[in-house]
Amino acid sequence: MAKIGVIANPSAGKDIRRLVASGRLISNQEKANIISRFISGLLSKGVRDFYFMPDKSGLCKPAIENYRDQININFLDTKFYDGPEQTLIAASLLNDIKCDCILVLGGDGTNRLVAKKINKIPLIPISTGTNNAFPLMIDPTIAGIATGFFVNLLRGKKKYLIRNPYISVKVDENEKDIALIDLAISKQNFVGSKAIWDPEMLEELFLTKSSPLSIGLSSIGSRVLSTNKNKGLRIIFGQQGKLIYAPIAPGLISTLKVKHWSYMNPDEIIKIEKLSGTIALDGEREIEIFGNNKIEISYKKSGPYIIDIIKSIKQDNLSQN
Amino acid sequence: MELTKETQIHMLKRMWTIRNFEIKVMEVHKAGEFVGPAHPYIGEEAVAVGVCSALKDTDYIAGNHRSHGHPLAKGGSIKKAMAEIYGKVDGYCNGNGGSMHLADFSVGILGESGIVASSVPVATGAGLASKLRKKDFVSVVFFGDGASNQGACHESMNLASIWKLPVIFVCENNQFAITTSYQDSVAVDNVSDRAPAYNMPGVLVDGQNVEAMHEATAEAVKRARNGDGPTLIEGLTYRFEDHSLGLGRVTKGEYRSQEEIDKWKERDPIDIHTKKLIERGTLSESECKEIENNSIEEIEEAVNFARNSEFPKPENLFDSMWANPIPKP
Repeated sequence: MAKIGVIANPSAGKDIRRLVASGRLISNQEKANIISRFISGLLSKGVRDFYFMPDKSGLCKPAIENYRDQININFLDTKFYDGPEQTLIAASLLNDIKCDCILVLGGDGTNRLVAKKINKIPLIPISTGTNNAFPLMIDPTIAGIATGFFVNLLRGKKKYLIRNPYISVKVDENEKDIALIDLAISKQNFVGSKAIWDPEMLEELFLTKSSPLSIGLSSIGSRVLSTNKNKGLRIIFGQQGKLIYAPIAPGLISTLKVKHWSYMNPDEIIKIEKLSGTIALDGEREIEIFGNNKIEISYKKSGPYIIDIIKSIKQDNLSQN
Repeated sequence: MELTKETQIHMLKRMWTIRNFEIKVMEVHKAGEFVGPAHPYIGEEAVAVGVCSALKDTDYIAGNHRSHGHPLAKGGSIKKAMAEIYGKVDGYCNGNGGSMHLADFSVGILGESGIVASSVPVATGAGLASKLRKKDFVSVVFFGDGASNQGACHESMNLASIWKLPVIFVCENNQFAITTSYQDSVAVDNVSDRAPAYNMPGVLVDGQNVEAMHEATAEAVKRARNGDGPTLIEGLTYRFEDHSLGLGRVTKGEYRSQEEIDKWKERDPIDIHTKKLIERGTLSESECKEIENNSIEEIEEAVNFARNSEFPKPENLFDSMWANPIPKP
């Protein structure tokens, strides 16, 4: 029987970007509703084994209440509630039990944490965050049906998977972290409330992809270069640069001066020295850097898999005809 | 925004002042040096200090029952605060108020109250005063997750929003209203989720991170001074000690596990900030230790000041009851 992991970040979509931009609030009631709808889709395909990340908010309560007699409910033993640490532990545990796939509710940041721990388990990332370049804006019922179709396949699963690239960052030769969509170097000298929204603070930006339809730092890329599926993007900001505007946060359209832009080849190492400030991963300041740190940034193609929901649901519909 | 070294060091100093103040209060209460309740703020220092370090002296704050930390963070006198807790005449309210009444208008401290949520309309009123008098001060109120359910809190947020008052509502969600978990008593999962219902921004902040609290407050202050209205900030934090001194029958183990407390103590706000300052080279380990030791000395002086002060005289009991002269309407 297929095993489905569920990681729902109770804090996703609630940070300072509600104040400094017009970030939407996704209440935890709505997140619970999303889980419930996702399960209904999977149940229609006979999938019944669920492994939930526990949380104090009770995001899994509706699933327990509505489907108590229909699904097997398992809670992961993460020892402690809430915070990024819990997401990392939950993802590791799901990796250990070899789940067939993981529903992730959050934005780019939550998916980044999960991606760090899951090896090749495919994700179904549904958007409940602020910047959502990685997750999908899709009805969870549909995502549930498509996931059910996928996990029930006996062979040929690979063609329903999409592999995503990522950006890796080393500090002083130590593997430090990854970003799924964007890595920015900011002049801001502290992590604080994490989010990044002041264009004046941006020094450099590295992207795995960019779309004119995306919100967040990745939107900047599409203003200077078209996305090349096999390459990353590097952008350097500076006073003498080309003036562009981009929606770097919901409702926040900023003007920026871009002085250099180029593609990054896979595994090419870009070395950065003598910059101090912070490194932001998928829109959140995470690492403080100082002038003496040696930073190495590279674009990698072997990132997390996600289930191709559109392809899966189309095939599922065809198989019913 | 950037954080100056001075601000970073100031934050550490103020957090140590509060921590050592509270440790001393617990010690002298146990020794029977003062009577009545007192509610230790240990574990939550980053909320008060992060918020107050983003304010000017001319901005106002109002506190709650667990409020030794707020006036100390705002720049109140340590000696006067300690003397008030001792019920001595040199205290902030001449010893008439006690632990929950540390007011000092000279640095913008409106005072606190033992009545849950009652300071929320007071701070909202100060915000109204700022607007009516065309001043630029903002008003901040600290309240807990328990208070967030009170009518006074809802009404104040509604009024502040429709009148676009320069008020910042800071919910210190320490996760327990005395012994009741907020999961059992608050209908939404985060108090900040309620902000859209009042048509104001709501932000969930790591309340153990003083710099995160500072940054969120600085942005809310900017919005308030700009005339754009109130903000609700929820600092997710944790009370390390029991609810109140003198309530020995309600012990930690009855409503929260030691494992949970220990886990939160791993995220001690002072440790988090100290580590950052050392990593950045802002301060050395020994300089951080010196700040801690200096604050212990400072608190010791405050306790001696309080011990040596007199109790108020019974005949002066009503002296502070009315403004003198009583202002005309």
